[in-house]
Amino acid sequence: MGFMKRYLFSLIFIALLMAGCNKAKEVLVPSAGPNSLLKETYPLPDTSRKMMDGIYTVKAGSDLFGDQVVIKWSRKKMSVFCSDGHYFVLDVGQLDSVIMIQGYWRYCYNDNTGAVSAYIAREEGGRDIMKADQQTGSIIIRGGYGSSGNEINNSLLFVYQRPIAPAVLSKHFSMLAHRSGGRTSDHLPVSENSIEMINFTEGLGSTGIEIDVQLTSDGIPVLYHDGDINIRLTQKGPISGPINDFTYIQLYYLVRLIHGEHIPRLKDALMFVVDSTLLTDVYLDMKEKVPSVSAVVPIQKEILQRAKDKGRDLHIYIGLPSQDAIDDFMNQPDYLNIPSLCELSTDDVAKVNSMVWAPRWTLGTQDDQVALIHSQGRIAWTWTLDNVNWIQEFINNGHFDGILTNYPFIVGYYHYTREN
Amino acid sequence: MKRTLLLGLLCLMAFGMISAQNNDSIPKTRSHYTLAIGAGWSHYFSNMELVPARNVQKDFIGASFRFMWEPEYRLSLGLETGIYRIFRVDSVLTAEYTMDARMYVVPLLLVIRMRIVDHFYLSIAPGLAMEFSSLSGLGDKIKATQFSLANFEGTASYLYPLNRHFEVGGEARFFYIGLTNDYMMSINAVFAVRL
Repeated sequence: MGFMKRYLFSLIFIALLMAGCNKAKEVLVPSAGPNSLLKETYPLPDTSRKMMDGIYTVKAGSDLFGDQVVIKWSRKKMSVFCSDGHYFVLDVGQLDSVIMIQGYWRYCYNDNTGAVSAYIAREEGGRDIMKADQQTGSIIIRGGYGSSGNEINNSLLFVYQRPIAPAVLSKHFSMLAHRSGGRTSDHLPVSENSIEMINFTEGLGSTGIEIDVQLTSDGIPVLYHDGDINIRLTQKGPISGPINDFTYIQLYYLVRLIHGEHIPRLKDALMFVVDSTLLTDVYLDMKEKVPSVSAVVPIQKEILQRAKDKGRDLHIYIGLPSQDAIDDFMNQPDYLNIPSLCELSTDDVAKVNSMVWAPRWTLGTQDDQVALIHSQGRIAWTWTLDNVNWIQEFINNGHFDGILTNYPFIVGYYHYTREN
Repeated sequence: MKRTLLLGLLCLMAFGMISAQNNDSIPKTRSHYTLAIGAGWSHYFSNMELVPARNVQKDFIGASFRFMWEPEYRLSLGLETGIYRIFRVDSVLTAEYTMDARMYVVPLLLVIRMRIVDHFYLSIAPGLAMEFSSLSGLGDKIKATQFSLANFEGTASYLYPLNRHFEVGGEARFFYIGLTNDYMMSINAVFAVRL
């Protein structure tokens, strides 16, 4: 019987291990829920929001968040960027010139997160922020943060240090977020390559997005990264296999992304970018299994016209990651005037008249090549840069005009803390 | 790949824990080969989250084929294949659209089997699987074939010898398909021939 017991225990152990290998899908976003302090407050006007942007000294909470943070408003959220990959996504409201702040912090390299609740007293900057008629010199954010669930059990104190340098704000530096704003594997609350992610990503500090374009069997460009419908990116459903085999209507009815969203059509996603965000750059990463440039160019043209009509400063570039993609691109009529991004050599960039040169970051800062690109009136981005030290190196010592990353808040920290 | 390696190591560990066959009460038999064919009921443990998958048919008839090398000791090795329908989803999505999705699996597994007591065996079997899926409705019929690299089967078998050449019995198996995170079980009647 001893043999049998051990044998059975081994089998059970293996079965449990296999069950344990399944991906965890929980979303780690603390929420104040119906007890939110903000429900009795009013939104801040844009002019007041801008006054809060700046570099802050961390007087309490520096163990976790470092000695200095950047606060930067996006379209809907106030974000805090730390030097090491911690970030905050916060909602803000005001009542009688007291600024109420609520949201959560996250650390990008693991699942650590916690609730944040804070305020700016009327006498500690709230009144100045609401008056918004001059740059304040004294904003003090007091509050607390938690390390699990919705509990707040640690003190938080940020003191305004200085504004973001005007030269930095006036420079067009693109912080492009990967996979329409963030990866599903980073346990974000919305799925990658979804319209919901495009709506979410500005809170992470993104000023642009990279989106993955695939073509359905009926020729409709959609947003999806992998070649297959799989359980990494989608909820378990009745179909699997190459995405290019399915029609859009099949994907619409039979596939949901991991957090329940539909796989969006490229056109719908770009319309959302124009109509509902302040994003300025879109990098279309064309997946190569099925050539899709000819299906994408008319959409790009239509959306750019829509953006122009609305007075939006929006750039949409078709990515050219390979020689095959370039060959396909050069078959398009008037390809020299189609906004594109070339990942190959600077000679290839010139050949197809790409506006953006985008080499991988592992090739280094390539100062001479970047200078050459600048001299041609083009811009240079690098991808996909996630390491804190290398982000710091590229921002402080490189001359790229933008960085594609999974962690735009880290890029944001090092970009906005620049002196010029 | 990582999961496959891990499983391989665990299998080795599992058998490493089993003592050598001192004081074996079961008489040794002569080394031989066995071919076994099984057929019976299979059941899919549906874990679908998607709304159209509410009408999931989970119970089907499946078949297994196994070739074993059985030395004179307790452990035996072999290869197993079979064919199982995993699910059929037959739904009316809207007034305009219906759909019918099916998936079959054909595993190819390395079977490591141990005779526990007379006629009773437990086995584990890691290996490959091919998944064949089809979708009709909502446009043209689509067929897809995918390879799943990390799969696992556990089986309990009872085989009663009719004579020197033939055995009959039954077996219950649990099968996990890594690629699509599918689980199924089957209970088969088995007929085996000693070659």
